[in-house]
Amino acid sequence: MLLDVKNLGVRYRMDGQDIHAVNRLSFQLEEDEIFGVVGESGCGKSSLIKALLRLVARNGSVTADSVNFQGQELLEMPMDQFRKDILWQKIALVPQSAMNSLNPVYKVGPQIVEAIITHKKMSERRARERVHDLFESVGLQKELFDSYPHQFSGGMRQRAMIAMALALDPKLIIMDEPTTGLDVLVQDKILKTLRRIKEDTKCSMMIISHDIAIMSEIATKIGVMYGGGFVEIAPTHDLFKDPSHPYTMGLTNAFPSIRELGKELISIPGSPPVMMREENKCWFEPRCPFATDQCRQSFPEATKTGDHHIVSCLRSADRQKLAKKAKEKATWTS
Amino acid sequence: MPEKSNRLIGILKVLHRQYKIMTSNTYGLIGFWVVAFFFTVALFAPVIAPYPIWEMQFDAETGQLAMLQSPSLQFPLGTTHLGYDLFSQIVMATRTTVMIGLISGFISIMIGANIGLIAGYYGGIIDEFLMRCTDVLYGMPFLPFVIILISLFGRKIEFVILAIALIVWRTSARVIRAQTISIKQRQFVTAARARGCSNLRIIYRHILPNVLPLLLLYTSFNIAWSIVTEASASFLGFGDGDTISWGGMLYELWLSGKTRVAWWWFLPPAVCIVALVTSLVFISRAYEEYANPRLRETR
Repeated sequence: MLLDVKNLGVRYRMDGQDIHAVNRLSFQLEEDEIFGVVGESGCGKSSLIKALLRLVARNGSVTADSVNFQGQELLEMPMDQFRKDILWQKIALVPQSAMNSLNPVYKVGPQIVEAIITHKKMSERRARERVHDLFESVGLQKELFDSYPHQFSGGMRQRAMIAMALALDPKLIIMDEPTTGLDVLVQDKILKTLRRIKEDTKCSMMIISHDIAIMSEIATKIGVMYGGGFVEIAPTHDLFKDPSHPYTMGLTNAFPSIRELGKELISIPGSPPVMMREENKCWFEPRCPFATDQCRQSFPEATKTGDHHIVSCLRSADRQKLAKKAKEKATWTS
Repeated sequence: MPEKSNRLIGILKVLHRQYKIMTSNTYGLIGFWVVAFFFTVALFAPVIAPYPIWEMQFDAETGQLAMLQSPSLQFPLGTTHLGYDLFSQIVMATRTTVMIGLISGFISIMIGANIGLIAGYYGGIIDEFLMRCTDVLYGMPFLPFVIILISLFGRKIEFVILAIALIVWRTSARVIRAQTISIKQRQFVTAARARGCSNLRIIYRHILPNVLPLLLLYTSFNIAWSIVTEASASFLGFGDGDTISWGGMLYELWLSGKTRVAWWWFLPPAVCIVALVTSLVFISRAYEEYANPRLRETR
């Protein structure tokens, strides 16, 4: 196992109030896996990444039973050691809007070379060769080495950031919205590049996005986030064939399918919760068409419905029946 | 050594770029050449000055002490009431003034930039503390501060420089702090942190180059301010008695009581101060336009 997160919580203190961004979140990540994390805005996706990389802002606090990465407890490590040994070396981040993640005053190639040299004892020439190789593997021409970030297009900058993340052969690459803001063709090329990189390097990836379509294309396993935690985690194929949480059912309804063109999309009414305190109830209950009194009184623990299929829903036993109902528009509007 | 010559070319490129920025408008161009002129004079002052500055001169025709003579061929800018040659004095004073301006200008921008960067980057208590210190400096009247410092340590040029540098940095610290706060929110800073960069590295490798245009603008401003403050301190008699500066020349004139008679004594240092400071401000403005392109549109 590469990464094992148990009961992670992130809360921010704002104007004397606590805002819970991540709540009772657990997941496991195997090696050589692409884990897609989907969820709507404000569900805690970005906070999850920040917590894993220990980049949470000063007004935030992180709690967890365990965040175990290759046998090491990440949250208990001294910050200095974490910074030097884990960040970028083992876990690399391709940040959200990677377009602005390059320092505008340095040329792209030398920027990466310099970063490598300061992290690893490597001669400048070897670092340069490394960057040339990286450029090639993410599909950037070598001639672009001495260009400034503003001379790059959005897709090129995204590739440069991926190259940077790959530089030290990390075991895990976390990507925050890797395709947001790119046009569909470039998105597709980036996804292909990612898939090839995974084949070549055997690293694991964790990809955060709100675009379930992209996830279905690239992820081997998908986690659906709602209310600061995972409501369902399943291998990609199973998730679409057998959605077990009402929220997942709603999500799959809300995305257009190429086979059912012209079919009206059904959206989930309501908006995500603002979590001021930990409550013993299901966070999706106010928007859930299948909610019962039970859902208001106890927190749904994660249960296994298949080998690798985990759902946090009290009614998961009825899932096939509910899934059928969820396909009808009336279920959601009434 | 191809790498060394590459580096040299790199430095030349940077300098050429600075020249382009400075001379990007007419005022900047004028400013640049006036400043260049004064710097050249300062550099070659001992070669240019025809007479020792503290030595009485005698009229070549009459053989008498050349007291308070108006400009002539022998004394291009006339003489003082003690028969000192004013042209030599102004040339040597250029050297002192330029040196004081440059050194306190650079010390003050070093202090200001570091305090601004650290306060802006760390925020919180550190920011609060450093900025309140800056506020205290704003509340400090300049001349009494210099007078006390100089009466404590003596009328030495080092202390004049130090006194000036210790007070001039305040504005640059504030401005650079503000810019740092804006830049630290940018995505590339977060990216650097996610790569495991240390705080110092982020401050000096990632943020500093982005505040550089502002930094150069305030370097130029600080030099100008240092020159002005040195002139006022010297005029009031708080300069170094062993060297001569433009303000110091005006002080001597004041002491001699010949202010109303000796226009040739009064004009050159006054004109020099105004010309050099104005030119530096012109250069600052050129940098300002570069740092804040919106200024260009209003013209």
